[in-house]
Amino acid sequence: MTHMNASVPLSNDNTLTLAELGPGERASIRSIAGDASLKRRLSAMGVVRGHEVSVDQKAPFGDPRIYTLLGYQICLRNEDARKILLTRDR
Amino acid sequence: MNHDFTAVPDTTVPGQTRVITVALLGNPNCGKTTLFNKLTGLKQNTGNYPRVTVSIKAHEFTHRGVTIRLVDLPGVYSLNSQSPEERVGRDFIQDQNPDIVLNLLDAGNLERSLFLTTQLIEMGGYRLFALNMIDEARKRGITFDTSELSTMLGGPVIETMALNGEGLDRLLDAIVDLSASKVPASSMVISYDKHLEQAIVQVQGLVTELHPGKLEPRQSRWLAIKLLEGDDDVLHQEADHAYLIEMIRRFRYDLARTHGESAEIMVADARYGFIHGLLAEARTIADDYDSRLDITRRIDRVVLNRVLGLPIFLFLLWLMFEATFKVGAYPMDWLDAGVKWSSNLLDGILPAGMAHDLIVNGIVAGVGGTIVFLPNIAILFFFMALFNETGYLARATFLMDRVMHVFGLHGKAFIPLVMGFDCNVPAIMATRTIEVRSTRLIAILIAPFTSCSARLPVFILFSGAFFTKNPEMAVFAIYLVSIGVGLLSAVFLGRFVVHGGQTSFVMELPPYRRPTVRGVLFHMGERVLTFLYKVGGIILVGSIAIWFLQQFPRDITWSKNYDAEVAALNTQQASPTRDEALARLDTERKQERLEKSYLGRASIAIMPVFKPLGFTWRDTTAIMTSVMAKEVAVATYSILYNQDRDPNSQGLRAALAGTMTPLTAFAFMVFVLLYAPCLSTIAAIRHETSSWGWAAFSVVYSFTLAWILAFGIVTIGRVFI
Ligand SMILES: Nc1nc2c(ncn2[C@@H]2O[C@H](COP(=O)(O)OP(=O)(O)OP(=O)(O)O)[C@@H](O)[C@H]2O)c(=O)[nH]1
Ligand SMILES: [Mg+2]
Repeated sequence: MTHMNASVPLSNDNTLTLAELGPGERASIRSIAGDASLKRRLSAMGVVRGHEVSVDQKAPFGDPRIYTLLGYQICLRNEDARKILLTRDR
Repeated sequence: MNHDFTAVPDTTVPGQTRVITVALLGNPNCGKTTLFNKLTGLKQNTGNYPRVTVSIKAHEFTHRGVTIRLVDLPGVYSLNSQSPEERVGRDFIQDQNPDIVLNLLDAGNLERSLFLTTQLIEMGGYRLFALNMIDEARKRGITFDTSELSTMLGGPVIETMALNGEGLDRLLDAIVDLSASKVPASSMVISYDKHLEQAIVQVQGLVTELHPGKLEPRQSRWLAIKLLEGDDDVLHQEADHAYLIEMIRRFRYDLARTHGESAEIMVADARYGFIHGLLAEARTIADDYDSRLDITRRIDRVVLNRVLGLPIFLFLLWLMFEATFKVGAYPMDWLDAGVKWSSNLLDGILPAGMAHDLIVNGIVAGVGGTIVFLPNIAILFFFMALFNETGYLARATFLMDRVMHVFGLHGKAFIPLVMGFDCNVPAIMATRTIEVRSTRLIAILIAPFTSCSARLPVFILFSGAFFTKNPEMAVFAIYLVSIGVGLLSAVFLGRFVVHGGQTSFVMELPPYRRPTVRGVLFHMGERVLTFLYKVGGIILVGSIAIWFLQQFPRDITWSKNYDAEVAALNTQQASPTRDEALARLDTERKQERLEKSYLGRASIAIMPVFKPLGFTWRDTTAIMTSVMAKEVAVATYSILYNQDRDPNSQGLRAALAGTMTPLTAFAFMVFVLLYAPCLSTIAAIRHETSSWGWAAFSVVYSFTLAWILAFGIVTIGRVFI
């Protein structure tokens, strides 16, 4: 299970998953885990290494969430957001 | 027949002037249909949310003597295979070889828009670009060097605003110039990582060998890239070439191992690299880039609030129905008076006889009885248009995704279901945006449970007749039942009937846009026209048919000699008792005539099915006839109760009142809400699932469910009341 790896918090405190990103924080995308079809879809929409993301809004039950990416808003479920690995901007 | 998915037929006839096919390619929600409508004068559906258009639409017009066939396509983010409706767009571009591709770009969102463009320029072919929504980009102080862009993209670049038509003349001129171009179409090369590039070259070589003489270099390179990206459809096409497939598998494996990154990610990285380089040269940004979202974020903080979000959504729904009901009541009364007036007028003018009865009691009663609901329907459409145009609908999807998820539905199923309040047919088509077949099938099967506007007249009529204190609450309750049954059905179907996995939910949320008055009125006007066509078509025909069926056969065997009894009574002295007896005889006679008509006999034959629910044979008739279209139920009641019309009556509502208990009436409303979808919806289910089996399942399932629920309501209700 590839995404299990991604969801385990890594020791490096600069690394986190998109689902862990807090309000007001900004971070850059590092990599996407998950199946090829999800990867293709996400990368076509700009979820690509080096792009900056931030959280805008959580839905009533905390899932899904709205993120800003490349100047537009994208909505993802947490289970997918956990597959996206970020590096916190310093 | 699957004409929505297949290619648009080539309309070029030898000897005629050449027709230039121009395909509109772009991301969802970038304004393709708005542009298409502006150029062709058509009124295709638009809205501020992704994936409004789910099928191909083509239209021809001429500009400077050149005939242009413009093709509107569903939006796509990339040319790789995804959901069914995206495939339609991609296949058209790849397989139909349009003469020119017009690539629409959202000028305020260029990075993402250009991803598709990188594929287009790699693929080659004549192309031009529209920087649409230029108004929004300008507001944020973004400017473009269009000549630089056009050099780097290999085609003219024109700034446009599809909404008001700005730049469209220049766009058409550019199309005409391009169509006369003598320069062969070119492709652009995007530079990839060294190892990936080597792989591409080798795969390209093999592909060229396998398809000797068939592929130009740009085509074979394109194919090689798609294969290395792991595009399922292309891999499938080439499945016969085992050696090629094996080579690709090896390259993909090696690349992933040495780079720690799969090939499709490397390709995407390179494409975005190209895009950033391009924009660094050709775009200047004055403002903070994200600022266009500031207003949207501020609105969202309220309407998507974690506590208030759902209540606000429910409140808006309630407001919509309340307005539909309360505000609609005034114009409805005027229309009602108008219908009554013309009925009386015709009653006086026409000589007594069959034609008189057909027109007054059949056509005017049936059509007039339905048309009075026009204002309610117009108001409902007004709200729907508002939700569409502002972008709130997309946000509501976000709010509801979790709830939908609990019921085993996909968040994307929400938009089709909301669209269902308008009409189930487009709602069923809109499920094309759902990628996974099983999930889509569930959405299709529950779509008929959303209460479409055709059912609204029945509910308004019934709630007015039986729930005089607060009729709108009865209607609102019906809508809640509609949503509840849809969701629970999804759970049931997901567990026992349709099996399959969930998909991820990835959706772009467009910024809020101010709805234009014209846009909203357009939308509303179009829907109102559809309703009027329906009234002039199926309702009119249905009314005539129903009238005939309840008048024939002319000769029936009466159970008693009414004429003799009337004559006997007439010899008595005039007294209130005698008049009463006469009136009763008259009613009885009419009743018997109806019951022994074709319609009456058929209904009485079926009635046992509905007896446990407490429905009369007239209700049975309405249920049967309204399979054609649900409004026909109202026309049926109008005709059936028009028979014993007395001139002082308060109309149909009053005639109906008292024929059932409120409990039975509510059960009837629930029954009408749920039972068998109308003919057009059945046809749509069959078309979208490509199976009569599912259409039949839908009919049987919904009928059974309707019966059980109605029975439950009368049985359980009786205990409490
Ligand atoms: N401000 C502005 N809004 C526009 C312009 N063109 C279109 N819109 C709006 O953008 C939204 C989307 O337009 P559509 O024409 O439905 O988009 P589409 O590309 O056909 O979308 P799909 O069919 O979903 O792929 C609508 O709300 C339009 O009113 C423009 O030039 N400026
Ligand atoms: Mg469209």
